Parts: sequence; C-alpha cells; structure tokens
Amino acid sequence: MLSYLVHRILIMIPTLIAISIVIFTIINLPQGNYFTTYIAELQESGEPADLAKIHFLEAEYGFDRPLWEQYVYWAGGLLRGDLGYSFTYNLPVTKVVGDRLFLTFLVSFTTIIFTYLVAFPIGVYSATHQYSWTDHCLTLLGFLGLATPSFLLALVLLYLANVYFGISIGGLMDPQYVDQPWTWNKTLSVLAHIWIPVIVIGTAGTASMIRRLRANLLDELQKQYVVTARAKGLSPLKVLFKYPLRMALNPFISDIGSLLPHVISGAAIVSVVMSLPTTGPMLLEALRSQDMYLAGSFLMFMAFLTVIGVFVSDFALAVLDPRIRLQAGRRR
Amino acid sequence: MTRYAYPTSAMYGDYLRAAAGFVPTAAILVIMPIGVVAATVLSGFAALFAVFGVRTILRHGTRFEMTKSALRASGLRRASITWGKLDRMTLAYYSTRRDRRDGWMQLELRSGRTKVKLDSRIEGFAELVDKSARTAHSCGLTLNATTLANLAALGVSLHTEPRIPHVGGHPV
Repeated sequence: MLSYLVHRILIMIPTLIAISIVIFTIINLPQGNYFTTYIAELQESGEPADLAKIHFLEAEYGFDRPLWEQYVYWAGGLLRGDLGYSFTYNLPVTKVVGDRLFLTFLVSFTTIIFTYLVAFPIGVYSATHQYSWTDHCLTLLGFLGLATPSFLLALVLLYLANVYFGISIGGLMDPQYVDQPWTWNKTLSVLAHIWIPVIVIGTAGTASMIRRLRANLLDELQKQYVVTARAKGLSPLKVLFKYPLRMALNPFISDIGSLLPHVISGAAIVSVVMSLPTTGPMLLEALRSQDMYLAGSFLMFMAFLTVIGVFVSDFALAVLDPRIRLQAGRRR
Repeated sequence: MTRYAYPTSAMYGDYLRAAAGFVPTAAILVIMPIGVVAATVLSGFAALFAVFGVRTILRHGTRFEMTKSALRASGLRRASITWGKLDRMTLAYYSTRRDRRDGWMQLELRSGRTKVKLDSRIEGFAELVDKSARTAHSCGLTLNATTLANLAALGVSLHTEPRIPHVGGHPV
C-alpha cells in the first residue's frame, strides 16, 4: 500500500504543477490585464483614470515582468498560503473568499450527503424490485431529475418555498443576517434556506447515481455466485450485502473524484439564479474582469479538489478491490 | 532450498521515487518560508517518502529462503514463517493507470504476529505465490475473492477434483 501511495502522490504533484501552469497561461491569454480592463471601463464611462497610480500598481504586483516570473511569484505565494490580492475588491484574496468559501463548503458537502442518502436506498430498492410499479415510478422520477435544468428547478422551488413556507427569495439566509457575525439565529436562518440549493444542485447527481447503482447492482445480482448463494439458502439480505452491494459500490467511490469539483463549479449558475453567497458567482465575475489572482486561486482550488478527489477515490478502490482486471486493457 | 532476492535493477525505480519525493519537499520546507497548511502537507509528504526510502533499503537488503517447511527472511530484515502455521494469505494487485495495466502484485503472508510482504519484482515471485497458495489451501485457509481472482490471473488453480459424498461406500 505504501508503494501505491508513493506512486500515486508522485503522479499528483507534477499534475498539480502542470495544472497551475495551464491555469496561469489561460488567465493571461486575453489581451491586457485587470488594469487595462479597468482603464477601458473608466474611459467608457467618461471618468478620468489615474494612470500614474495604475502604472505604480502594475509595477508593484509584477505585471511589467516576464510571464514566467509572474508565474513563479504567484505559485510561490500559493505555497506560502498567500493567494494574492484581489484588485476588484481591493483586499487580499483570502479575506475576499473567507465566508463565501465556508458557505460553499457547507452547501457542497450537504449536497453530497443528500445525493448519497437519497440515491443509495432508492438505487438498491430499484434493483432488488426490478420492473415493479415502484421501480417504474422511481425510474420516471430519476429521468425527470436528469432532464430538468437546475436553474428552472431553482426558480420553481424558490417560488414554492416563498409561497408555502414564507422563506425569503434567494440567498442562503434572511437579508438581515448578511455580513453579520455568526449567531444562533443566523445559523437557523441558513438551515431554513439551505435545503433549496441542496435539492436543486443535488437532483441531477442523485438521479444519475440512482441509475448507475441500479444498473451495477442488477449486473451483480444476475451473476452465478449470487444464484449459488441463493441456492445454498442464504437469506436475501445476506446475499445482497455480502458481495453484490460491495461490488456495486465501486462507482460511488470512483465518483468522489468528479463529485467535489462538479458540485462547486456546477453550482455556479444555480448560485447566480438563487443569489447564493458562494464562490461560483465570484469566480464568474473574477474571470470576466481579469482579476487574475482571485480567478487563479479559485481555479487552482478546484483543480486541487479534483486531484485530491481522484486520489481519494483511487486509493479507496485500491484498498477495497485490489483485483487484476484481465479485460481492462482489451479493446472493445 | 531456494533463495530469492530483489534484483538491484528492479529497485532503482523505488530509490529514484523516494529521492524525487523527498528531496524537493524537504528543500521547499528548508529554503522557503511557507504557510502552516502547506508546511504540514509537505512535512507529511517528506515523512512518507523518507519511510518509503528506508523501506526500499530494507527490502533490497533482505534475502528469502524457501524450504519445504518454512519461508525465512534474512539480512536487514529477519522473519520466519513455518508453512504449517500459515494463518493468512492475501494477494493484491495495484496499478496507478486508468486501464490498470503495468501494475504490480503484493503477497502478504502471516503466521501469528510474523508478517512477510513480497512484491512481484522479487525473482521467483510466481513460484513463491504458487507454494503459498497450495500451503494455504492444504491448511484449509479461506482466501478472499480478491486473492482467488489474482491467483487465477497468475494461473494458480486451487480447484481439486469435486468431492462426491459417499453413502454407504458408494458414490452418489
């Protein structure tokens, strides 16, 4: 296992370095930088721009240096825990992101738990009761979940939550708690609001996970060893839990890799629609205004989550199922 | 008696991996002023690669002897497993590639508190696995599904002729 860990980490580190280079290059691909965009915006609105101050800031933050020097400065800052400076907010990125990052984590992890809690029992039930009327109903619900655009579901739920539960439209808390210190009432307000984004963001993922778990479990349940176990008189529950379910869990584990970044990036559009104080809308704005340190930090954070997620899922799969798969390399 | 050892050429990769992981992480820790989180993560990596390096040295400096009665390790690591007292055997396959090719196998044998781990780069690995599997089978050990699948992949079959229960001395 130690060998596996070392092999895997040695792949992970250059991957992260390569991603950081790609992110930095992409952010710098558009013409100009934050300051040129800022000057253009000022000129469009007819306001005078303090060019001396802007040139001073460009020199201060190394925008006049070669690109590779800027990269080394940025990457070194990431290692030191210094995510850089947001020119849009005139604050260090860590301060800008602060509360939003916590709320993003809260929404994301609640969504992941919601996805697993709902998908797991429904997937197992659907597989063990194949073609029953409940299976058909759940399948229909699953397809509806897959087919419904998240932003549309968000609008419908916002309306219903406001009309039937009196919850304020948009946001993750009542307006009076925004930018206030955390109190018990603020926590309760967050809890009262969080279920809407969780259902909206989690629905598509839950539906696809139900379909995959059902399909995998059905495959396993039709295998010879299950028939043998049944023939030997093992109880249905024991037959289900002993091997087929464990084998069917593999997609759940391998999903961790894509789930973390998908939940955060996928929530961006929903966050805009629902006015959620999460990182998604901030990322969109940072990319639009070429606020490079803010955008770069977000993208690096998402890349980090992807790499960590894939590492965790690969490691868990290696621990749970270290089998050789003879057909893995064959072409179909 | 048959002797087994890890060939030096097979260990170069592990020495390089240990160095490639330990040197840069330790260098960053020593040279650069970094944040607490990054320092904790890098210290963890440095420790992991250091342990891996030490383990590679130990593995390289250990020789194995297989006799009819036991498997003995000598050199930097010493251990002995009497075949008759074998109480656990697992065979795992690991690969870091998506298509699960170019991986390696790891054989773990236990007898009481004594544990021996061997990986597929050792000379004569197939022979060691075959002997271990047959011993485990004759000792009546239950091998897990993963081990059985990996044994089958190596061409080691533990199936014997089906036992037909006899009633009154006649086959049923």
